[in-house]
Amino acid sequence: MTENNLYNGNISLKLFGFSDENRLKFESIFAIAEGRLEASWRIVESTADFYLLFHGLREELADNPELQVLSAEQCVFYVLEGDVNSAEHEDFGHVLLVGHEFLPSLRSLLALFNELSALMEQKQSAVDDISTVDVKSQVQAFEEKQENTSPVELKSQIVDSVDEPSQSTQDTNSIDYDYYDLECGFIGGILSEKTGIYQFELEVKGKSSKQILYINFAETVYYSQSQLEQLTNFCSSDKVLSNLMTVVELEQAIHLKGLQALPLNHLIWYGVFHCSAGRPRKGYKESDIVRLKRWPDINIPGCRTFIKLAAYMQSNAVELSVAQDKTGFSMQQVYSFYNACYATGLIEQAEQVDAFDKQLSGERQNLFAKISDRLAQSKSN
Amino acid sequence: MDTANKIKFVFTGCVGAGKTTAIAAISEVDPVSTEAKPSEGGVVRRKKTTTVAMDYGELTLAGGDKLYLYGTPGQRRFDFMCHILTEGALGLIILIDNTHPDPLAELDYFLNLNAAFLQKSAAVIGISHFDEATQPTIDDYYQALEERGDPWPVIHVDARVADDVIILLDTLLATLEYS
Repeated sequence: MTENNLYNGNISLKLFGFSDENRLKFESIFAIAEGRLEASWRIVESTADFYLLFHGLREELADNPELQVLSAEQCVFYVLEGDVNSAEHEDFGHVLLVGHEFLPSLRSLLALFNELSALMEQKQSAVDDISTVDVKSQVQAFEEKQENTSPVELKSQIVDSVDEPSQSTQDTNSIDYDYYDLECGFIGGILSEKTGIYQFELEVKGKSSKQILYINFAETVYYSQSQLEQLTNFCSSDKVLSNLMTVVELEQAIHLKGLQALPLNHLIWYGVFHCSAGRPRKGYKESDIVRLKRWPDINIPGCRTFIKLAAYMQSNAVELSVAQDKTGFSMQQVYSFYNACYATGLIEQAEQVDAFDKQLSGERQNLFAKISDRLAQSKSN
Repeated sequence: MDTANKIKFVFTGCVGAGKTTAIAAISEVDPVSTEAKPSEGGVVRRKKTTTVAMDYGELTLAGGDKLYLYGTPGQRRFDFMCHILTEGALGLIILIDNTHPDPLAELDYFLNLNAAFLQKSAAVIGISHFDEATQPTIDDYYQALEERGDPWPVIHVDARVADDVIILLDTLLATLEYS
């Protein structure tokens, strides 16, 4: 950090060795990334906090008097994705991966620049601590707290601090057992996002591999090598990492892994159904009169079980307790089904009850039961 | 053959959608099929043989009653068979081949053809060959149904798989029971 650029939430960056064309490419990706950067960055022509050096300049460091004065931690090097050699770049400066035709990788840019801003913040707080800490008053506050805190509370505080997830994808559903909050956790995140392309990563317990999920929100599709059933891990975990991607990066991933586009609604329906765990969604009232606007996709795993409920809810605007009573499902099943349909936009709220109480003759009921039994036999065969 | 007073489901839909195959997948007797070389231009290109009168299969219910499964011919010139076969039927399974040049128009056509029957009964829409063509999507079919004001469920199926055909019939039953 240079003395005349003390960190105040703004970080300056100077580009070195860039042609007009390559500068434009960097600035374009930088503009896309800006909304996701944790600090405010500006590109300057004078002394800067960090220096972005174009591909090949590392070799010229020793000979270039302007670059000789820079410290390692101020330097960010353009490195072609195929040329990455961690042992080589760890010894001097940071690395920004660039792809074909020196187009920076958005993911690499986001990760690196957020890391740099965190570094700046740490340094600044260290400086602040030295200059402003009132040691005496802190000791006094700590002692007072110790006196007023029971051993149980203290233990609880410690556990909370250890378990508290650092990601913004914290699944608060585990906290409220009465309701399922559709606005929280991974599902909340993907329900609120309308544009952009993201890669989501989740470490698989006990394995070195990661589960990867790509979502193109504008196209309302997702891509993954994992089955839908396995993707519920994302919904229940608080360790999901997300990275913004470009269309080109997504296309590369699709090509490399042979992925197929699948409807995002399937992921949402299935995820919400499982995370609901029999609880109504937050905001639902027992007096709500609801109707299914149209059928959910029966091909979603688990959805076939609810054919009768779907048929009833599509033809009747009623309270969920009535639907439960008429179809014989448990209230927990009805809530989970309703939440999943609500999250995928299949539910409409009605002003008043509109129940079409179909009266089947005993003979017809008997016939349907016999057909149903016969079909069930064929299924098991 | 008197088909009007039987307990039956009717499979209809475009040529190549899998009506004959679906009936064969679940029928407990060897299905009767009236196949011949197709004569309509579009059909000649798509299939070597096609149904010209009807397909027929059956399932025995508890107590000995039979559930009959009829399939209509796909070629337009045999449309009159649709009206004969649907008379007295419990419900209609409309199969649409998603690789057809205009599957949504096909859906529209078969819903119109059976409009009178569907005034008093129910249908389920099965989309076949979905693994070969994912467009139009299931959402697109629902959109088309919504524009028509039709409430029928849409399910993509493999007509060769008995469980897929059964899910169509289960869904049709639920629709008959609750809708």
